[in-house]
Formats: sequence, structure tokens, C-alpha cells
Amino acid sequence: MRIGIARSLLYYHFQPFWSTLLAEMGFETVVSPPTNPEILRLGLSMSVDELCLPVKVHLGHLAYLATRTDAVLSPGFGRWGRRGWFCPKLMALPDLARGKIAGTVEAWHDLDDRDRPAREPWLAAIGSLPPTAERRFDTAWQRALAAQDAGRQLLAQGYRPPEAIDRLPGGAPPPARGESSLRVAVLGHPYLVYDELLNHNLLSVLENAGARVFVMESVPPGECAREWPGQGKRIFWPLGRHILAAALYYATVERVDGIIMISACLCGPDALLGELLGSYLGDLNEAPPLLKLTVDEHTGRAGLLTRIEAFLDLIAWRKKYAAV
Amino acid sequence: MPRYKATVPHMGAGSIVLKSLLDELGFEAVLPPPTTRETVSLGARYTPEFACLPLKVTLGNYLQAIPSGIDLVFMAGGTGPCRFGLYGETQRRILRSLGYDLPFIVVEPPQNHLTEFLALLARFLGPGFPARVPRAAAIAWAKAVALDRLDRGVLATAPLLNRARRRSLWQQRGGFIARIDAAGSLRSIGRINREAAAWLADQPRDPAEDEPLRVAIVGELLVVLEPAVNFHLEEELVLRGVAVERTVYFSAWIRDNLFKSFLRLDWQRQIREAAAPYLTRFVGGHALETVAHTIQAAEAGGDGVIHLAPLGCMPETIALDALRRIGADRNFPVFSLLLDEHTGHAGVSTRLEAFLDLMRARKRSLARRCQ
Repeated sequence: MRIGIARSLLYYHFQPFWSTLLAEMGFETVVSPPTNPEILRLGLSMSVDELCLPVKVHLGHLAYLATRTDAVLSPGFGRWGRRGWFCPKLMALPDLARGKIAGTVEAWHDLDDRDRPAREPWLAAIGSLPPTAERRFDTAWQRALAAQDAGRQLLAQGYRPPEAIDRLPGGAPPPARGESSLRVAVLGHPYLVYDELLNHNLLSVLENAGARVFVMESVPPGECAREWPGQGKRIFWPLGRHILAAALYYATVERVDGIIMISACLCGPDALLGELLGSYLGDLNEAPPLLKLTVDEHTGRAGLLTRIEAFLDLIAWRKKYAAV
Repeated sequence: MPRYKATVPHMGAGSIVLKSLLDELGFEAVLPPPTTRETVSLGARYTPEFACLPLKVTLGNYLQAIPSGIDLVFMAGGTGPCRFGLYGETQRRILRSLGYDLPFIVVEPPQNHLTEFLALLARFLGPGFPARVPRAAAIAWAKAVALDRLDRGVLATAPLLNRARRRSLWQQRGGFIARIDAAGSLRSIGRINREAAAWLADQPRDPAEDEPLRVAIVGELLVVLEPAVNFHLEEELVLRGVAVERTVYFSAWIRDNLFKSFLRLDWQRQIREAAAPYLTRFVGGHALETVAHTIQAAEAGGDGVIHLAPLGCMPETIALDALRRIGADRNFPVFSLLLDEHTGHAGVSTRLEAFLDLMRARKRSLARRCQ
């Protein structure tokens, strides 16, 4: 039985876990290709306009896989620890998909404090699928958790999530990243930072311009729980908290010259996180400049490039000016 | 102790209730001037573009209250997943950047932070304030119930009256609201309740020519409750003789979200079961209620649903997707009105008229088919 895995939303965080679990259970897995115009078009055609772009794209990936596999893994994300929640749209994913795509296997993620998913929803979802391999489930579950931990260790060593995924079966080392006088942190939800169609190759554009790019997955795990001085309230979205903590790390510890926050149009959490991040940075002495990029399906590459170039010019100019 | 001047944002009947609560606790409650389109524009000027409308409107409320010399702001909190839980933090920092460094007292769900919250209140009210809580809570709760009972009565009575009487009914409703606002004891609230019930019972019924359209209003709390934000939709429907069933009431919201959550009652169970064909899980805000009430309206033989939501509201966007499918699956008219600071009155009126026409045509054709 072939089960499809969508290369969308939290794929870049959960791929090792998903593919190991399914493979250990005896399924063949098929991962959808990086978002392409066909997937984008499929997603747009089945969404209400008001959904955010990443969720539309996710539906596109599921629809793409639905015609090519026997079943599609349809993830949903609920609780995070005792106090946190994923955003409402990630919580509603299985419901959004169910009305539109046939043959989904719902995979619910309630994460504990160590970011490990609860076991019961998974057992209910795939324990009963043919080949009936329920007895394999315990072993598969342990191996999947181990793969997830191994993936996280690679991230802590400086791999980016797509590189860690390539590397996991024992593949290539990560590309060497040289130092540069232009140090830029690109922060945002992984489904934007690593989706080259949606972000118009943002990371390569920056690297080709000579910048050294830092991402939030490379922040040491111990730094991810820190909060900004004067932060009045904990952020209850896990990715939102990670973004703010990463910004704090790159603004004060591993200091960068500029921070780019990339958001999707109509992303609810980012509308407030962007405002808060600007406010927290403003309270800091010598804060790095912040560029907020918002993308949707209508974003043009030229407009994006112009803004990135202007931002890099600003950083270079600022360094030169500060040095005099 | 000095009496600190505290403000709360407007939320339909809600602000009257909170004003009473704060006054009885020992604050001097200062309500912002009534919300208008100017409030909406003012709030939108200083807030992120894609923040949801309630954040913008309530910030506009604070900015308009500040000239009255307020000392602190009361705001409800939350623990997610909806953005509402971060309003306090975001608005406090925006006001600070505008030069108003006001303390915010964010009222979080009681099961999480009760002790800290009581200590914070004691700082402004003095250590003796808990003695005043029972009376303050009783009066505020009585007002919440009275205001919602009044509205339920008015909405049930209006479609039975002729056009002129509907208009005067709506005007007199304002008088009762003002009296409930001014009432200072449980006894006087009880008296107003009895008078309002008698007033409604005495309205002369007119034999209706046509059976009125029955429309349910569903959606997000603030945009349903605050008339200036939804372009006085409820009033407009009532004056046109539509039988409006509002599914969102302030007292019910308090009962479910504060009391029942505190007692850990599973108050959502019925709602969840009703919504299950289209939405199986809690996704924050009112999404489950919106979906459940829409399905219930369709099953109860209503003529349509008007869904009020702030543009970009995450839970209501989920509900929007479900409502589209409900409307299509059941051939049931659903009108989703997504509101932001750019929404204009003329556009809303035109779309509303078209929707009323559509529902009337459908009602006629269903009636013909039954004959």
C-alpha cells in the first residue's frame, strides 16, 4: 500500500518521524515534489480565498498525492505541551481536507513538552490499515521517535531541515557555509522558509548576494525557550515562540546584521508576531534592522528582489557608517 | 485608597456589565465614547494591517478613552489558539509606542492565574476588596442576564408588529438599556426586568400578511455584539420585519467560557456533536458554535444564516470553509460578511438586500413546491 506524504506545512519538522513510522509499518511512502505551479493551482482551486497561502498549498499537495497513491497522510496539529496550541488552521487541517480530498488517513499531533506526538491517535489512524501490522506498531513507533531525535540533532549541528532530510538515510554532508561580512537571519514558518516556489528562492538569492544565512532551526535548543526582556506574555503557538526566541538569539547572542521575517499573507499569528518583534527589537540597544516580507500567490519575484537588494544595501551601508 | 480610573473596550451589552463590575469593585469605570466608524479608522491606523478587526476597534476605544484621563485598561485574555490571547500584550506595546504607558490588567481564564490576578487587583483596590466581590459580581451578572433577556424579547416580538411599531420598539429598547445601565441594586434590576416583560407582552400584534423571513446571526463575539462594527445589521433586519435569531449573547459567553470552564464542565460537547459533520475539533474562538448554529438553523427550517466575521479571523475562516460546504450540501442560503476597516455601509446594504431577496425567492419557491 502506497501512502502519500505531503511536502508542505510541518513536513520539514516531522518528515523523519513520518517516513520512518510508515516504512517500519510496511508501507511504501511517496513524498510529493517541491511545490510546483500545478500543486499551487490545485490548492487554490479548492480553498476559500481567506485561507492563508501555506494551507492552500497543503491542500494542493494532498490533492496531487490523492490521484497517485492509495492513501494520503493528512496531518493535523493540536496541543503543544500543557499550555500551547498550534494555530487554528493547523488544528483544522484534517477537517479542511476531509471535505475535499478522498482517501485521507488522519494523523493527529498532540505534542508533549519534548515535541513528541501522542501515540494513541497514530495507533488509531494507521494501526488498522492493511497490511494489518498492529503488532509492528510499538517497534515502529520507537524507531520513528529515534529518527525524529536524530533529525533534530542534525539541525543542532547546523544542517537546514531539507539538508537533514537528505542526510538522514546516511547521505551527503551539509554544504560548507563560509563566513561572510553580511550576516542575515531568515526567520519564519518552515513551510515558507524552505518552500522555494512560495519564497522565490529567498535563501539562494541571499547567498548569491554574498550573505551568510542563519535559520531558526540552527538556534541551540536551550535558547529556544528564552523570552524577550519586557515580554509580558508567553506566546502559545510553538512556531511563533520559536521565531521570537530565534530573533532574540540572533539579535543578542550570535549577532547578525539584519533579520528578515517572512510571512504569508493572512497568516494570523505572524500579523501579531511581526508587530511584537518590531516592538521588542525597538527596545534593544543596537538592534539589527528588520525586514518583514509578506508573500502570497500574487507576489512577483521582481518586487521581492528589489526589497531584498535594498535591505542588503542598507545593512552594508549601516556597517560602513558604524565603522567610521 | 484613591479610586483608579479604569476603562474597558466596548462589546455591545458587555461594556455595560463590565462597567458595573468595575464600579462596584472600587474602580471608577470610564467607558470610551461609543464605537463609531471613526473608532475603527483610528484603531486601524496604529495596528498591523492583517491583525483582526476586534484588535483594531478595541485599540481605537482605548485611544478615544485616554483623553478622559484613565489610569489603567481592563482586557480579557486567553491561552490560544486564537489571537485574542495576545491582544493585551500587543495593544499595551502599541499604546506605549504612542506615548501612553498604561498598565493593562489582562483577565485570564481563572483556572490558570487566579492568585496572581487577585494580588494585582489588591494593588489597585486595597486589600479589603474581596469583601466587595460577591455584590459586584451579583449585580454585574444580573445586568448581563437582564440585557440579554431584553434583546431576546425584542427580537422575538418585533416580527409580530407592524413597521411603525417595530421602529418604536427598537427606540424604546434603548431606554431600557439605559435604565439597566443606571440601576444600582438587584431589586431595581428585577423591577426593570418585570417592566420590560410587561412592555413586550403589551405590544399590539398585527396579523402578518406574509410569514417573516427567519434568519440566524452567527459569528465572532465582538463583530456580532457591537453594532457600529457590523453596520447595525440587527437593527436593519428588525426594522425590515425579519425574525432574527441571534446565536451569540454576552451572558452565555461568560457562562460558557468563565463559569463552566472553571468548573471543567464539558460545555462544548453538544456544540461539538452538532458541528461534527463539518468540523470535528475545537479550533479556537467561536468556530464550532458558528458551524453548529448554522447546521441547527438549516435543520430547524430557517430561511438563512448571516455569518459575521472579522477578515482574517483564524477560527472564523475555518468556519467560513465549513459554511460554504453546508450551504452547498443543503441548498441553504448562507451569507458570510467579512468585516474590516475598509468595509463600507453601502456595500453591506446592497449585499444584504440581495441576500434578503434571495431568501424570499427561495421561500416562495419552496412554498409553491409544497402546495
